[in-house]
Amino acid sequence: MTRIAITAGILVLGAGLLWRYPLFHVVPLGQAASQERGETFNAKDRAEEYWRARIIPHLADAHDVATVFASLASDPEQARSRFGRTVGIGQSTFFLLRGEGTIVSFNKNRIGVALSDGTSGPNLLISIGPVFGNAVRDTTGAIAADEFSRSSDFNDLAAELNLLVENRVEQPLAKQAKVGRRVRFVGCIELRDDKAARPLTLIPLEAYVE
Amino acid sequence: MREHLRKLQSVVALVIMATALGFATDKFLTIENGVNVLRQISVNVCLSIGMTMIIVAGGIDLSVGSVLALSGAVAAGLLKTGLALTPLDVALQFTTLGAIVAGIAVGAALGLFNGVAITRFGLPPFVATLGMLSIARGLTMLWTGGHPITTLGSEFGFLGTGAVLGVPMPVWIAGGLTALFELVTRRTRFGRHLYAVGGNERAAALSGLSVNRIKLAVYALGGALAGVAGLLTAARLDSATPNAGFGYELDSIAAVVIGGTSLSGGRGTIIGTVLGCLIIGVLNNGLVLLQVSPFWQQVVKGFVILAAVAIDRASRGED
Repeated sequence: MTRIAITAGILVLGAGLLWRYPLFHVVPLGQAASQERGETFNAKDRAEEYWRARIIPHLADAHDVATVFASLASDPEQARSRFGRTVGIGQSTFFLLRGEGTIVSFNKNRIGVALSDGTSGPNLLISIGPVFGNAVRDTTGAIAADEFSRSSDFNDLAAELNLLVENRVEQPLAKQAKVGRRVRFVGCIELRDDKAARPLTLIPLEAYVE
Repeated sequence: MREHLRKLQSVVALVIMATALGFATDKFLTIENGVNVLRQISVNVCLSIGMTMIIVAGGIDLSVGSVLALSGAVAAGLLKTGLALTPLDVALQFTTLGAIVAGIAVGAALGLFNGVAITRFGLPPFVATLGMLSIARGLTMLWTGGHPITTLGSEFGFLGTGAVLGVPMPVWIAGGLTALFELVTRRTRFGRHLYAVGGNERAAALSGLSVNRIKLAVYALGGALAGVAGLLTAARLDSATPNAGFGYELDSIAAVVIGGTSLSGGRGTIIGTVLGCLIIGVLNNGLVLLQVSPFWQQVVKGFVILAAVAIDRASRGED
């Protein structure tokens, strides 16, 4: 009798605890946000979607390139915290910048831009070659790693976004670029080290040649 | 007297190592480094508590590293993406508690499988758990698709990176399990049965003990503890990686042996094993602080294990 009472007590207590602290929730399959595992992740489609919805709308938030460069020259730490974005425990800081300048040099991978009139050499390089790294994906801060169940999906997205920038921004820019013409741009810079070689290289996210 | 001295061997070895490292590097004897060592050994403590009970009962479990990986991966996967029950057109979205329970349950189930293979099919523990080592690793690869499952959320992450009263959660958990199983092995009937089965299985059976049931229970417990270790590993890294726990079974067995547990069963303590974990942890930490090459670290660790077993056997007067 005692044993039955103890067993019943434990069962009731267990049921109460499970009711208060459930182990899982049952949801309709279609509604479940948890179905990511079951879907085939299509990095190309996702890159297209995120480019339109998560990157382009944020270009308006870009900081003026001259202001950021001046701040980097005088106080890099403050410039990083004020204008940049650091992801996780990485050493890199991403800057979203806008500005304009005159094209002063040109090769198959880089366009040299003089930001201020009267400067003879380039003080910014704009990439028109292969894009590597995570700057395109991570600079705006609108794409979070925890949206992805697998880190490989997150990495694939970065690669697809880089490809999209190469095809959609860099190639038209490379066709129009000529020494002496003015260029307006919004783009991202990844700064790993304050002593990184200058001029810095910007990955264009939007660019117009006049 | 001799028994007391033998029990103190591990403590003496630990004190000598700590003193020597304290002189060799000023970074060793700091509170921060002490907490760091405790945090680092937490996973091995969880594995080794189970391993101690299994070895005391006359068995061995080579699969704990793989069970750790699968338990962590299942918990992470359920937490992150849930479980689709397609025929019922529903999905189960797991809470953090649910994922934790599932991870431990997976470990216990795999441990139970080991126990069944050993008791019902008569496989030697070495062979049965070697098979499970491969099975669990393969299942981990299948479950994860070979990719890490990352960003598991702050609630789950608290298990691995949180702290209470300045003490990291993994240390609390390992400490709690140590106290619990020290009590279980010393003060309960189950504990006494473990030693009886490991000391002389035939005599234990003849005196009416259900040897197979005890073995099933101890392997299931070992698996469940490997599951806890898997949860701690995943929570600490915020990622369940398919190759997690690779080779951990060796560290675990080393800690058990250094802690004075007899590989032939029937003798050993949880506290001794925790001291073994501490010795390995301090050794690893010291070698890193002294900037010894990782290749040499393996060599040194191997010699320390050999020396510990040789000294232990000599002090017992065994052949």
